[in-house]
Amino acid sequence: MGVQSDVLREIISYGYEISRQIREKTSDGYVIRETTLYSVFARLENAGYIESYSGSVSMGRPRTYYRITDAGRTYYRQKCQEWQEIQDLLQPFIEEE
Amino acid sequence: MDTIISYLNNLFANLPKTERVLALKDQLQASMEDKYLALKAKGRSENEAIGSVISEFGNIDELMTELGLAPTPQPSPLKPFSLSDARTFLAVTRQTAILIGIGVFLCLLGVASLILIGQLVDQGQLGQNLGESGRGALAMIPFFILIATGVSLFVYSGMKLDPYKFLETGEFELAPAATSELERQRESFQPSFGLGIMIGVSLCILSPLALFLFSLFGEERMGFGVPVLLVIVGVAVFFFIYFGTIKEAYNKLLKLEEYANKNKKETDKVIGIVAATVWPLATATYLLLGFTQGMWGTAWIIFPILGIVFGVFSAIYTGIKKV
Repeated sequence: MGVQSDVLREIISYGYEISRQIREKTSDGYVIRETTLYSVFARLENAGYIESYSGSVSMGRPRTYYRITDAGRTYYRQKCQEWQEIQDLLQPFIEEE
Repeated sequence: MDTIISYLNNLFANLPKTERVLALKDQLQASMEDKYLALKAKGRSENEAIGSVISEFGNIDELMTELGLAPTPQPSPLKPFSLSDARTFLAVTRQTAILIGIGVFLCLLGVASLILIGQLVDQGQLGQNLGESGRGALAMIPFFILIATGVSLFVYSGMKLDPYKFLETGEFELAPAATSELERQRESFQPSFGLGIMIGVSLCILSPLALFLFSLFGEERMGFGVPVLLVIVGVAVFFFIYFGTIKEAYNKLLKLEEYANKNKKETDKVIGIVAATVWPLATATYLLLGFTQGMWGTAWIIFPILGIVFGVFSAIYTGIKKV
């Protein structure tokens, strides 16, 4: 979930754009499936971490845009911290090998 | 792009059309469209672009859980029917079609023998040394043996076909591979069907000739034409039943013609009920007239008259039902 929140941190974006950025940031290492992406959207939106609204900007087609909420930002920081802690915790075991 | 839209439509076909589901579908479509256009812009071919978009779509069940819907939406309540099931059913149908055809032929033969022996007794050519009731019984013995044999063939066929009863109501789903194979088989059966029905119709049209031929030998001989007529009709009916049943089996499997909707079943039922009442009644009347009035030689007229009336009735009834 960290990856998606990273994308959402500062910008308003829409489905394809987000999946494209995930792909780019991971250098094609992770291609998110449409169904995975939209079930994550649904989950985050239900939890109030993101909000969606429809609008049309480029190409004239109406799209659903997503924007992170304040609650989402807090949650994101919390998760980043958690991740950092887990990493620190596991690091010694990885180095031992 | 149409491929992608129809792919999505198929995935969503079984889902409830709630606002939320439809909105989700629109979003997925927009996202897939974006991806498709981006790939095309990168110079990918149509097929490559569609291929990547669909392969990167994922699994619809994942979304279902999120929407609070069952992961596998409404499993088909229809019984699956494979090609090998269909082959077995057609083999059983062919076998029972012959048995039923023979059964009907035997029943008509029974009536024919009844009339023939009745005539011979009437004209004093048979059973001279028997009493009044003995003469009656003489005609009855082959009649009952033939009818009983015919009826047991019906019962046996009915038992063989019993496991396939559900095909009548169309509550089954034919495997896609079976559909094309059966369509081909049905197509190649069509000429044999046409020929079989043509032979049957020709025999029916020619059958009254038997009456004329016998009437040439004198007024009292004309009665002998009736058993011959019945035997010819029996052969014709065998053709109708054999080819008709096989054709019907294909229609049942492919849900065509009479099985395309459910009206036919009712028509069949009404005609069946009428037939099941009227024919035994006619036979009973014939027997009654024979035993009490000794009219073995003349009462047979019931059968051809009823045959024509019944034919007209079922034709009109089917005609009215269709309108």
